[in-house]
Amino acid sequence: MVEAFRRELGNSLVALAILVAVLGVAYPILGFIAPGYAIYLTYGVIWSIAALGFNLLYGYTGLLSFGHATFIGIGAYTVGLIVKYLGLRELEPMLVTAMVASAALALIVGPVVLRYGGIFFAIFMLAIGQILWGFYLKFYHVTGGTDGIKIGRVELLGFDLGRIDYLTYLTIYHYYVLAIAAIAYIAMWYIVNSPLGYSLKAIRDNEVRARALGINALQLKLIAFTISAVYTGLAGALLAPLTRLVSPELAYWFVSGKIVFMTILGGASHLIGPIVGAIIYTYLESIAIGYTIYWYLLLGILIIAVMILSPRGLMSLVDSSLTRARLRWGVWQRSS
Amino acid sequence: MALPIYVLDTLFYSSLLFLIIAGLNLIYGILRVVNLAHASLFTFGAYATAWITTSLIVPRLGENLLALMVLPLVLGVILVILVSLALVTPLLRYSQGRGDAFQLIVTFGLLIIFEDLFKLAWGPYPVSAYNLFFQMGFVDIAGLRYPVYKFYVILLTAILALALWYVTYRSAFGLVLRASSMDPHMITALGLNTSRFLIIVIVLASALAGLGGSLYIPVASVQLGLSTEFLVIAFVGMVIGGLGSFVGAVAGSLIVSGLRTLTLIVFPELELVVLYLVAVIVLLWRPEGIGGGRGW
Repeated sequence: MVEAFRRELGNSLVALAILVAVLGVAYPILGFIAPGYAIYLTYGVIWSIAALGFNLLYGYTGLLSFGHATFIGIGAYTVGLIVKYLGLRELEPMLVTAMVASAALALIVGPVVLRYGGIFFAIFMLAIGQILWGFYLKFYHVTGGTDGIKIGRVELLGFDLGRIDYLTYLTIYHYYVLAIAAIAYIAMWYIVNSPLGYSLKAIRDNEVRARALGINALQLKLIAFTISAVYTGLAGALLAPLTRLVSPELAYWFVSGKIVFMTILGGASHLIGPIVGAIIYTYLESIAIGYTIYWYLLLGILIIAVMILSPRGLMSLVDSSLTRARLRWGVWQRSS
Repeated sequence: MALPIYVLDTLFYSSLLFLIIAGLNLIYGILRVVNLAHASLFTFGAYATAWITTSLIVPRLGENLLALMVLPLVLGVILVILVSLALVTPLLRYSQGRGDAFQLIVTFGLLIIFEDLFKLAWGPYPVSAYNLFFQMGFVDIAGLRYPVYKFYVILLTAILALALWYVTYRSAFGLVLRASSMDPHMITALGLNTSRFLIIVIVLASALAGLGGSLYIPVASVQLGLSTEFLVIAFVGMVIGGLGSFVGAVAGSLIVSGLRTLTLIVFPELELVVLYLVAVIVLLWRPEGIGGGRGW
């Protein structure tokens, strides 16, 4: 058991190291060959934090939320409101506040929306997302309505980055985000492989049986929901300095669907699936929007195609081809 | 606002909602599929009717009251049925029995496909066709000018709801409908042509939503994003009334509409919050909704 755990940890740390190395090296290379596109890597990494959180709920607990834009909005508007009303510029306290705010909202609505599960949960989350989106629009004297809230340059780890050139600032921000994402990934790995993670999987596979085994399903779902909200809220907060504008767009229902799609594209059964999905999605979107204004149409077709052709996502394809290669390697070894 | 106006507005809005919720419940009750793209057919009906009114009817036949009352509605609903047969029906039938997550995600895909099809066909700006609304004129109610058109919509929907009630409880088709919402396997075992039956159900549900859109367009404009606005409100009604039931569609649309009209007068910012809270209260009191748990 301990051995297997160590091997697991080793494997996923290797996966993380590869991921961080690829993303860390890709940024300067991309910045060199296609300067405009490097910034999308930062977006991709941020969205992957959101998708990681979403997937704890969907892939590991079996709860499909169609309203995770709620927490993106909470995170982003926490930063926006702090900047606007307190004039703070250090990002770290804002991130913490955003995470606390997301957790608080999750703890308030969770006990109600989690009670019914299935479609009720999906629909209620969609409704909550729309409620908050409506608030951002309607309470415009606080939130700025459609104009949103402008975010200037933030201070990272106490360093004032106001005077360096913008490209360097973006590069520093990229590595800052990457470091946070790595921490988020490791934390998620521990959550998924903890007794909590196993209980969640038990609930996903068969809730009645899990309850019979003495698992307090509602309580654990609430914990998973809160963790998921914290991750997505963190992603929302990290988005704000990058978009430089916090607007209701960030909390629109389409964003919720986007997070769902990132996760299923990468593969919900996998810990790194959502990360892969988020980065690929962000690139696809950035490229497609340059060519067509009908991105929704393409994306809709893509969603349906992925669900029908490969419902377990890209990572499961990678997985099965790895297994096949390993089998072939074994056969070859034995025959020679 | 005077009481009669409040009642009339509530009835008007609940007529539109009923046409959406009835379809949602029909599809959920019979196919056990939650269709996130259902309100898109409402929006499509609205766009199509606006287009038919302003570019086919008015230029050829002028502001002819009878033509405006009949033609846009009928042609609009026919268009909606055709689109439903081409896009919605195959996807819903494929989704059947594949689990909540699959259905929700796939119909979400359909929802955003519709959003862009609307943009492709009618552009990103609001579209409207008030011709019929003004042609029908106004009457004095409680000292206010109230549009005759809203009476027309209420009356038409009431007749339709009665017809639906009659079909459900007094016809052979209704018997199959109710039976298959309770035990679909048994109905198949008894020799029903399931494939044809399911297509009829989906087309009927789509036609109701399309009709709702057709009736909506003379009073307001239609724009991108309208689908989700109606979808979220219709879902609240679906939950309050009870998933998959005819009685639920009636009760849900009336309650949601009454509450919405009231909150829009008192504090419009909290419209969805109030609806949501009521849905939660109803669920705590009766988890299966007011009229749910007994099939269609």
